[in-house]
Amino acid sequence: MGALQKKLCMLGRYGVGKTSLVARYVHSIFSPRYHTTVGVKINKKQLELDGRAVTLMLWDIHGEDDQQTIRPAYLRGAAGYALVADGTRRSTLAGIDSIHQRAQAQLGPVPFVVAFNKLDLQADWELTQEDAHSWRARPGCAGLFMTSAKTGARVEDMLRALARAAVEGR
Amino acid sequence: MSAGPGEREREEPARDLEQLRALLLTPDRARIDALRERVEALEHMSVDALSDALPEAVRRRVGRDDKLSDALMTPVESALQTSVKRDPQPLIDAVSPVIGPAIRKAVSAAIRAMTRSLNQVLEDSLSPRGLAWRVEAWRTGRSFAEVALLHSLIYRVEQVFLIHRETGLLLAHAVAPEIHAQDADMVSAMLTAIRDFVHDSFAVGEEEGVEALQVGDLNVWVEHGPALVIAGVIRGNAPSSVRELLQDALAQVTADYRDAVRSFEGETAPFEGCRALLEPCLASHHESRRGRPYWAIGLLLIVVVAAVVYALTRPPPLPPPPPRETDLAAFRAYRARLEAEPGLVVVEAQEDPEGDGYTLSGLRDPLAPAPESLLEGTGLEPVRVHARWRGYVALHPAFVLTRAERALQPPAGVTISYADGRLALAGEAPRAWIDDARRIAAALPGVDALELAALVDTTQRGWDETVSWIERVALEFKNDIAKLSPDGLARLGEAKPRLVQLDQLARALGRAVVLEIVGNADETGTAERNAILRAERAEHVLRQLDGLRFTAVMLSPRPATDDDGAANTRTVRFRVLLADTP
Repeated sequence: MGALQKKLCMLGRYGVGKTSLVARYVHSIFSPRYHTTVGVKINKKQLELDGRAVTLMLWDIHGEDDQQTIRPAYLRGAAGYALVADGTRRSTLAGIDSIHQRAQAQLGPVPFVVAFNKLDLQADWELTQEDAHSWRARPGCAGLFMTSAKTGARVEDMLRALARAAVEGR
Repeated sequence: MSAGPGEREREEPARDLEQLRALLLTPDRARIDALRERVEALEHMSVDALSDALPEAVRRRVGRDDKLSDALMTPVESALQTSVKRDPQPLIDAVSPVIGPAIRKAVSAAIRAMTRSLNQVLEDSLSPRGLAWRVEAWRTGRSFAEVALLHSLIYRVEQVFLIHRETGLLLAHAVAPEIHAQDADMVSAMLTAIRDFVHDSFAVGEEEGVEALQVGDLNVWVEHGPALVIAGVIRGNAPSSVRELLQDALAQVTADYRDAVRSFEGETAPFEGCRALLEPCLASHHESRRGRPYWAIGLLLIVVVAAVVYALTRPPPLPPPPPRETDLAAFRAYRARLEAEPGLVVVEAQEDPEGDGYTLSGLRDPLAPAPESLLEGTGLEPVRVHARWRGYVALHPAFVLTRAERALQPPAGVTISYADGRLALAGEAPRAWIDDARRIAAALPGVDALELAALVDTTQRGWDETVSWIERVALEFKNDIAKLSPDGLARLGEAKPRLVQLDQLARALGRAVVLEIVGNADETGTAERNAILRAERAEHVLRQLDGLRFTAVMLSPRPATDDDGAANTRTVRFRVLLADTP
């Protein structure tokens, strides 16, 4: 107790790897098996930012599909969020655009990061430099990262950047 | 060569019959042949082949529909009946490993429950507690069973979470002793997620929330405020007063931390003090220990006697219990007073679960005022506070000073002061007291150093004065006489008490003293005569002191030498020498 706590959300379409990114970040593990997230999974990560102890409560929220959109209640009080897209599925990029609009409408201008995940599947990669630039330019974007939950590439960087932006405030 | 006509006539009809049979039976014949072939094939089919095919056939059929099961039901039932009728043992052997444990478990559970309720009823109906419950039932118009149940509730509030409603972040967390708490941050977030889930899934109003979760005998009771949520994890069967405790704590925190909650950005440090407000919610009620019957009877007798005595002496009318809010406020005021008082430390303070008072425990310095004396003016009845105080030593300066005064018992003229760990003594005191003070002060808690610069040692001063008085004395003799003159004798009479005093002071200062009695003579007469006079005069004074008892002073008569000064007088003088100084 007495530390700084922040609620952060993982958002994106279904199957983009939100749960795997959190598992990689919090537990340093990766499982190739896919489990769909029902509702929300909560994980806790403690880290130090500039010598200050920070506790992150990571709300890993179920992915959106055509039947199911994110419940707004889960976003309430979040100090930031990560938008996760699947680098090998272009359609998931449009998905995060819509989620982003709704999250900003609900939470106001809180910081966010964008993760283009599954970098280990280079052969099937569909996203372009232009996609990345367009996201980086958006206000509140604390960084865009090409991540791989499988190899662990840039996962920690991405969530640390988000934590830092959330701690430094809106 | 050819057959005769008679023979031909016999052959004709036979051929016709054959033709007729062929005409009539040809279509069936093929079928009969086919049947015969099948019968032969079946006869040839071995039992082995059937046994191979049968299990698979049964399996397939069972998978397809229930017909085989239906068909087998009757034969299986009758087979079982026949088997039991013939010899039940094989079936018993087969089934008992499964049924035995299940029956044992059910029976023991039933017996346990029965024993327990039987014990409870026996115990409660005969015990003073049972009688009290009966009185309460009669007084309140409730059934005895209802009252008994209310009092037998066994529960414990194990944890209390204070949760920021919007973010689900944990602000404060209180845990009962000896409870292993899980990751409180996670629990807080999950409780919030559950609430969010229920909200979104069942379209309930914003102000409504999950009020209770239950798993087995573990309950989570939740109270919602506009910005804060309080959740109590309760094991057992808690009364609704626990919910009131949670509501009170929530109201208190909401009032006390309004600004901190409004500006909450994830910083939990401002809420450190909340825990004290949550702790009263960690209430519990345990089953009372079972006493032996004669204890109960003895207790009952004592209660009856006490009641009679009480009724006979002075029955003060019991005031009606004050409303709970005022009562609670009075208790808080009392607690604040206790905490403000040096020498009193409140370790635990909580409301009794059944509203019959408050339990306090803490530490008390014997010098602190009696905790009950602080009740005055709070409006709280002394009988409603069950306090347990243990002694401790407080280091408040005033306490250290009082303890020092009590321990040192300074003589008149000595003042004691204390600051920053230094005990300062000023004024005048005898050596013996100073030595004691030195030893006692070293053992006083809170005293790191003893300041003696301003303290005068009266024993030493008395010594100095006495020695100088004695050394000024001159006992006079007449010319050529070794006996004291009347004046000399009078002077010696004055000196005697001083010599006694010298002995006492020497003892007090722990000194061994030599008192030289120095005999002098003037220079009239011969040197030999004078030498004899000096020695005799010293001896004479020594004899005069015979009646005095000295313990630290050793008397040593001697004739004066040139070094002594005042040698040219008809006197005896004294010189004080310290035996232990060279």
